[in-house]
Amino acid sequence: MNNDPVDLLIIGAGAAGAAFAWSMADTRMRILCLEQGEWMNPAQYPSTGRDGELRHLREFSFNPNVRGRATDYPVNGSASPIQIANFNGVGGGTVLYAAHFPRFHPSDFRVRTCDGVADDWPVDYATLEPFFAENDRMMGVAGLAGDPAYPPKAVPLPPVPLGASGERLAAAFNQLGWHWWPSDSAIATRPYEGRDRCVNLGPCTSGCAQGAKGSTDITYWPEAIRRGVQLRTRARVREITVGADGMANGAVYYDEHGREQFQAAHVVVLACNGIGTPRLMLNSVSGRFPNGIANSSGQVGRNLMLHPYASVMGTFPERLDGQFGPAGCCIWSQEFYETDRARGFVRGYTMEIIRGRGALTTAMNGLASGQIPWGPGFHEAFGRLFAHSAGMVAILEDLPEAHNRVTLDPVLKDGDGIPAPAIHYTLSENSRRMLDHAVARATEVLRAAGATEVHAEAPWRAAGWHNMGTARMGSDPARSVVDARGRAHDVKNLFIIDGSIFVTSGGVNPTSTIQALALYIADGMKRNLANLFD
Amino acid sequence: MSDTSAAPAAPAPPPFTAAERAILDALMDLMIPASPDGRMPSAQSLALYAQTAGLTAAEAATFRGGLADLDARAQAARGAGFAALDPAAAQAIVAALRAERSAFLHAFTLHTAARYLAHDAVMPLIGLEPRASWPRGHAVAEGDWSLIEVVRARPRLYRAV
Repeated sequence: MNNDPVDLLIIGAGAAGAAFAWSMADTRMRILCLEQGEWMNPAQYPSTGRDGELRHLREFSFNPNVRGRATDYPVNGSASPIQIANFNGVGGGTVLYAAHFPRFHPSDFRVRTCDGVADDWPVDYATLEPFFAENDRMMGVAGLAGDPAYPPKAVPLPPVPLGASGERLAAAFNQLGWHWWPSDSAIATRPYEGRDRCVNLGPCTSGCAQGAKGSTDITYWPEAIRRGVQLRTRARVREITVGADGMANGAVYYDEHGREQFQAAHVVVLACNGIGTPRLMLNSVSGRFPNGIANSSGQVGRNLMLHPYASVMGTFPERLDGQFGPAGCCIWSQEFYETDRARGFVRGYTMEIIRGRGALTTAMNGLASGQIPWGPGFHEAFGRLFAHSAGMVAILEDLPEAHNRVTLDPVLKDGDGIPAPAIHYTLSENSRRMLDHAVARATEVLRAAGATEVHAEAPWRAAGWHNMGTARMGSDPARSVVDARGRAHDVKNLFIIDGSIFVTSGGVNPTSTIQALALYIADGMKRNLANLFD
Repeated sequence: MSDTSAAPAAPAPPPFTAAERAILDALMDLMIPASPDGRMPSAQSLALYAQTAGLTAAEAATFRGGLADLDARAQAARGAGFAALDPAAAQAIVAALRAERSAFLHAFTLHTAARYLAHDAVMPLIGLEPRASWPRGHAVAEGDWSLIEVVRARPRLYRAV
């Protein structure tokens, strides 16, 4: 193993690490990324076989505890009503995400100013806008310009089709006078930059065998590697080390054979997501940082935001065949996004239409909820639901609370013996009220669309996809972990670029904003290379 | 780039014994019997567990333990093996397992539903072609994009800050 010192060591090859590596390749520095997972082979994704849905619920599960790959680490979620979802491999969570690609809104960066809660970000929408646009181009975003819920923006590719489900729900939103718009989706609806067009396989969330979905293993990484960035897989980092000068000087990791290695570096960048990053920081204990690296504030791991979801599905008399087409990406509504205190809560949520669900998912959800019985009634109940269901999820803005946090589990460890994360999370009263509102409004629009039955799960237990806030940005070193440029207040050559640094969570999927922020931080580093450690 | 996303296929666990198959058959008949009109076949009639391919070693062990437990419960309650019970008595035992959140029952339900719904004989009956989604994919209608004009005409929704 060649562990010669590098200029820039990135830990994590997901959404943020890939974008950052690609941007920093401009500098011609020696850049290495360590990734605990592997390269994925699209030919082995579940949609290539008849057993695809079964594989999606097992080795391609969102839940690392269910998936149980050697490349995963377990998560103790027993103290949370929402279970953590992630993926460990080149591309990270983008391998399994639905490819929803909304940006944060201008108000999302000014929550304290607008609504008197949480904190404002030290960066704003206008500053990030060029990086949003660059990222949309790199990831290949489909959508439609002109959405009144956003400042004007260009969209590289035409939108995903409405399909029967989308058309029916769009008409219902119109009937109620509510906003809707085709989802911004990182899906190639036309051949784009070497990617083939989407052929409506359905389950984007178990990997895209077609290669139409913009996961970073096929967008940023090939270009970054071509430009000289080195990516080392099956390299699981145990801790960041510090020198006598208090600067980070490298990382201890385990290679694919479980052998301990040390990689020296001049600059260390964390991109392990809102759970993996605080886990690594808390595991990086030294005489100088007895509570974890860069944690003099005690804020590392705190303020965990998970985006509580409501899942609300309707049953329709006619066949909609929503199991085909991008499962999660269709249309969305941001009618209830901005704060209206008359609703009984602050901030808001996005409704994202779910076209439908596959046969096995329909059966398992129906059997679990009691909508489908064992016995003679199985066929009638299954036939009523399958291909006749459409609905939505509501993604709620989750406000930061110090007691919602990631700690190290005293018992649970990964395959290399590294302490695993434990999640401590409760729903706030604001979130509970917002969930009730979202379920009621979703039911209203589904009924308007002609649904004969409506079934809701709120909060949706499995939906811990968005992990944010556990090493937040801020100007006050006593209340935040990194500054406005992603640099740790305590360690001048340690940067964090993933969702951990979010100050607030918005009410939309965070990938677009995570990547825009990573590009913004990279831009700042490139502009200040000579004075990076001042 | 190396192909490392999946380990080589592991050999299938040993096949179920005749006694285990009998319990599985009874359980499948409880879960998915033929439809009253005879249009949909029963799960049992499709020999879904004729071989154990598709089960991991751990899942096969869960199945074997669960089947033995079912039989033991039947013997204790009715003095007969599970496969010999009448449907009401068998359902009562299954209900107890469900209340206990049995890992075996979950695994059995998942694999039985998966094998049934992806079976050549069943997919056409639920409106699906008997094939994988990729590479041919599926057609999805664009839909009526004129619906968007009323939304496009709305005033700005986002807050200026």
